[in-house]
Amino acid sequence: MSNDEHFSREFIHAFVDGQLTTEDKAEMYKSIHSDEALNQQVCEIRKLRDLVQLGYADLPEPPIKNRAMPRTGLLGLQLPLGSGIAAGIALLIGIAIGGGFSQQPQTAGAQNDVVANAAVSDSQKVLFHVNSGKTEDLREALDEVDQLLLHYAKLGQHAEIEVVTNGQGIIMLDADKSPFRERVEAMLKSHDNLTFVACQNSIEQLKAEPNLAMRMIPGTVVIDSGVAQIMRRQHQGWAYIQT
Amino acid sequence: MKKLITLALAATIAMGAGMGQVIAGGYKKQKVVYHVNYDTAKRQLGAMRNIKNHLNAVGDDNIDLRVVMHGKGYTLLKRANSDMKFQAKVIDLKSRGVKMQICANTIKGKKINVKNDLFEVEKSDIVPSGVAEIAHLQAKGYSYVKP
Repeated sequence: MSNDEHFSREFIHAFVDGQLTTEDKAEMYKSIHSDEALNQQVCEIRKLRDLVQLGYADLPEPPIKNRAMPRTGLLGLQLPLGSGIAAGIALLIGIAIGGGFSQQPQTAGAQNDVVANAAVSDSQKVLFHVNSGKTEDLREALDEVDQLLLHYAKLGQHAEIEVVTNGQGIIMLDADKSPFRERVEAMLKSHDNLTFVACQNSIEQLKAEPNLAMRMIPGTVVIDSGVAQIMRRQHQGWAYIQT
Repeated sequence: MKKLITLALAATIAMGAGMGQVIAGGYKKQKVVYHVNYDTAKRQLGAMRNIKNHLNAVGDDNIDLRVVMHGKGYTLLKRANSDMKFQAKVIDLKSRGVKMQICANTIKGKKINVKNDLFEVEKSDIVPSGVAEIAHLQAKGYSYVKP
């Protein structure tokens, strides 16, 4: 439990929820990289959070949708109802509007809330799946990620992007063998909303080959299974792009 | 006997109506986005064959099918400009309601002359970002297929 000395539980939770500053995040990544126990702990919390969100994602939605969607739809905005937080907000909005129906004077106020909340929670979530280790494929995948980040930045659109590597694709994040180590590090540094993920199963598999010890690029998040992560994310309403 | 068939038919129709959008093939209405970002002719032809089979299985009127091309995927429409085999397939799919969309970033990045280099691309076929479009469509409930 060496990590307890450095990071409180709250701090780790804040990290998993993406609420830390870039500096704190960088320090955390560094520690995760060198501290197996901490890495495990982060993994556990991440899993727990995903499960909680999954639980919320399965809440019955139709009545909320019917009320909240037309209003947000007018603005061309969409609530990512798949995510637990958004579902929670949508539920509150639904209740607010529901109340508004019986008391006319409150309706205008409730509508304003819908607009404000929709703008805050309207985040595009995109997962890129990389399973090829070919240099050209990796370059193209990173180009696509860069282009998408740029596209959303231009629009002022909040977005979260996760690059999940498995199979041969994990070489992208191999600190010693990646043809794009510097590029990945630079991307991580300049984008708070970007995460690189490597599959533990794949790491183990490649490690099993002789003379292959693997060190990941600092900042890489290692998760139990890449495929499980992809399923989890899709369940949570993330878009999936196979590079 | 005729009456029996009519009855059975009526029952089938009634059942179909009761269940909403279920049609003969047993599929509900589908929304699908196909992702093409590779340039091998064989794979592109394979993708178009997949799409054709998909349409056949679900029914042209029962599906909203889009093909989003970006990166090297633009070569599908470049080939259709000169290769008759490609052209025939593209024409066939479009006539069946398939929307072929291409990424503006790709056009800009690869300095493509839309009119001369690509086969029948209208302004409305161009999307600002192929990947963002695919993500957007998925958020709207489209299924993702990368053949």
